[in-house]
Amino acid sequence: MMETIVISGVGGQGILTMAKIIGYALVKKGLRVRVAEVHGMAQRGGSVVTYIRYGDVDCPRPSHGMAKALISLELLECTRYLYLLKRGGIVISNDWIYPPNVPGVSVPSKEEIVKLIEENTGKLYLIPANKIADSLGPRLIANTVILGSVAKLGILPLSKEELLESLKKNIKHKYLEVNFRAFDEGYKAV
Amino acid sequence: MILGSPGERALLLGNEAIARGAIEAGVHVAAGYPGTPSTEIIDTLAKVADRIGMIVDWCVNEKVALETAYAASMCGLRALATMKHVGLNVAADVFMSIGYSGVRGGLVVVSADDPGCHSSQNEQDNRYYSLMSYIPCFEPYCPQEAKDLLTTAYDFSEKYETAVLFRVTTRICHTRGDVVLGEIRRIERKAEFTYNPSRWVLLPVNSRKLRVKMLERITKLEDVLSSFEFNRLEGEGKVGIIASGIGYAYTRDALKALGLWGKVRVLKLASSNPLPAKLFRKFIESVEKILVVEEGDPFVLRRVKEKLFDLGVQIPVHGKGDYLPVAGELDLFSVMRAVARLVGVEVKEPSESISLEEKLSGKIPTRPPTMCPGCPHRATFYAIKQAMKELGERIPCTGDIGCYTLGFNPPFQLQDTSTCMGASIGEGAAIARFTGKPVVATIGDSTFYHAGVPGLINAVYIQAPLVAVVMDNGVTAMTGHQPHPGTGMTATGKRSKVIKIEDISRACGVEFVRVVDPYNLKETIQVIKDALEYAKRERKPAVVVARRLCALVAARKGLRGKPPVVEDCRGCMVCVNTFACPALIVEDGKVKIDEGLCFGCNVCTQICPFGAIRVRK
Ligand SMILES: Cc1ncc(C[n+]2csc(CCOP(=O)(O)OP(=O)(O)O)c2C)c(N)n1
Repeated sequence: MMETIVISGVGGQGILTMAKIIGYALVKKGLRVRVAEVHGMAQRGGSVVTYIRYGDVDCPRPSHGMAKALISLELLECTRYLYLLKRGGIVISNDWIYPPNVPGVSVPSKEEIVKLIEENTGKLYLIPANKIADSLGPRLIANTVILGSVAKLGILPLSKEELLESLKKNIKHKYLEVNFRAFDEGYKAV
Repeated sequence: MILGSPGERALLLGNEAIARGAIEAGVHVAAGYPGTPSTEIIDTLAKVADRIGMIVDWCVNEKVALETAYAASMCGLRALATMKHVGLNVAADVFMSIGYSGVRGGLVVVSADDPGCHSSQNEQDNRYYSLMSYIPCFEPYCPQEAKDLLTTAYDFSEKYETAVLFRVTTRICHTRGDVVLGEIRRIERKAEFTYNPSRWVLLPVNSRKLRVKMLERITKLEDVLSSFEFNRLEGEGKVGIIASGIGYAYTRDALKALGLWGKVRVLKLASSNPLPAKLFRKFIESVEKILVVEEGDPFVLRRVKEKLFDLGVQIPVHGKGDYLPVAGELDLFSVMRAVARLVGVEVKEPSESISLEEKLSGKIPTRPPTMCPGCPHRATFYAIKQAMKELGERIPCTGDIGCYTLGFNPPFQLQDTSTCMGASIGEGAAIARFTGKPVVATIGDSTFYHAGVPGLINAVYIQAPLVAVVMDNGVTAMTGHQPHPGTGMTATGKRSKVIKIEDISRACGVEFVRVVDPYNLKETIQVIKDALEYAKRERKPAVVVARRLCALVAARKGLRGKPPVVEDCRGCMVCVNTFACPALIVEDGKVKIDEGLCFGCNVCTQICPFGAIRVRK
């Protein structure tokens, strides 16, 4: 078995934390894991994509059409990396659009984006993760909301408990409470 | 976690695995200068340094970092130096000499190369430094091997009295993987300088002899590395693959995906220079064609061709340049395609996905990285641009390397050059001198200490009408906020003297030196104008230090301000179009502040021509 999951979003949204939580849980499960991150330049509000590979894997960087799921924290960044999905792959995305910080940029509407995604994938799950996060506390926990949804959809070979256990290990103690709630809301949102 | 018990299975970033390897090897001294993708090695060690009794330093630049590590080796200690690929250019002078003198305590130099230019100005392949210096080059293929190979490198280094160039790339450094931790060795050694002039003093009389020794050593290592546990032969068949470093990870997955695992002869290499001679001869006995899979340049490929030529053997060799692209990073499909072509099997091209990628890139706008909300650099760029406007002149603006390189993008477009660290001052002064007109050099604080100071001395020396604007945000921000000589703190969080940019500038002979707060636009614009007029009039360099703590660091310290309020916005878009802070958002033609993003610097309140953005009471 060789599986690939892609996580994308905008630098600063907690993509690396989310990838680490998943990676840690997979290792604890006894699986071989590769989580390929991007540091440096792109973390300054740029486009960020992270690959998680597990099973009988060695190489960190997959290519076109290899991922079974794409998890995204922003809709434009979700659409940008659709080409990494296998035919019929699953997409779970925050329903938020964050226009690039470029004067005069033109951005497709949400309807156009959703249509584009649906035309090119098996199944799209839109999660109002920012709205949920805003209702609970800091917007930064939108990543945990999405993680909750991922847990519910059973995309990973991990139970809800295993993901929560990893969350506990990888998040600062004082933020745990609000993250647990975010996870729960995300779990209920699909 | 980094100090976890032997046998524990941990999820470690490649750089953390390297740090753990250093701890397991009993390294006494680790020194580096930050640079993606190498930074987390020292960051990780610095956090535990005091607990394990390791000396861990961020140095002023890579040359000094390598001198620090080399000196530790002279004193009999085990030492690690870390840097990004271009950092070794800065440290190359020391590095070449170490090839001659060899080492006493084990010495490993980590070079983190960045194929694909994720965060760098180039894709240089530092394995060539190994050829030039006669220092052997090791390359791990995954985080686990990064740890194990690094630990082994220390015994190797001491046994053969040679430094080791440990070459990793982005996908090793920044890949997390499962790593089984090993025993932590504690090696008790006292730093003792031994007088050994024939070795440490590279006068021609010594160098000539050392060169002969160095040549003998590298030849001997060809044999030694043939029985190195990290180099091995796998699989059977008439088709051969040489997989070097991370190339082995791609090769394994490609062979498995193609159902060819075990059916191809593989020479797995963890030492890309020198090639293990005996093992190589054994490999070529049975193969009729060869593919070399490696990250970066066709480095091993060229060595292989040379070896085959020397042996008088004719076997076709493919790899980077024909079956694999030289530019950019490896990816799984490229390697699958190359292997399939070599073996002569079909592989289905992902053409649908490739055309989807093209289609999408036409529809989704690109997202370049940007300066953060509250970034003092944005205010400084605004002030430079405004000063030029008020003087009625677009003045050349030489750029440098750091977060402020983002001043390249609209709306500022004020990085007319960006070459390498420190070059803004060296180039800027020269352009000013040749054209006879003022030039603005923009340089960060860390970059100023790193390589800007000699340029500034030279600018004074050649009397160039240069205005150096030093964007002092108190830290090395781009790489993740490491301290530097102006921070007043060491890598391990101990207090240290603050070495001030204005003091250095005066000591370099600059007579016009001003310090401004970029959040105060009026003052900053005026001082930049004054500096430009001074430089023009006096034909001498001026230094303006724009000092304000990095907004991310300030936010972490709880120093956020209150977001301003917007009342009666007329929708003129001046703030959005000339300042472009991500926290200024447009809804229904009017500007709003995204309070979640806003840092509260209040610079935008100074920009609105109608006073509609106001400081919150
Ligand atoms: C020789 C060399 N070493 C290291 C780097 C990596 N690097 C890129 S930007 C940067 C930080 C510059 O810090 P500073 O000048 O303070 O600017 P800031 O990012 O804080 O704005 C570093 C270390 C490099 N590009 N070249």
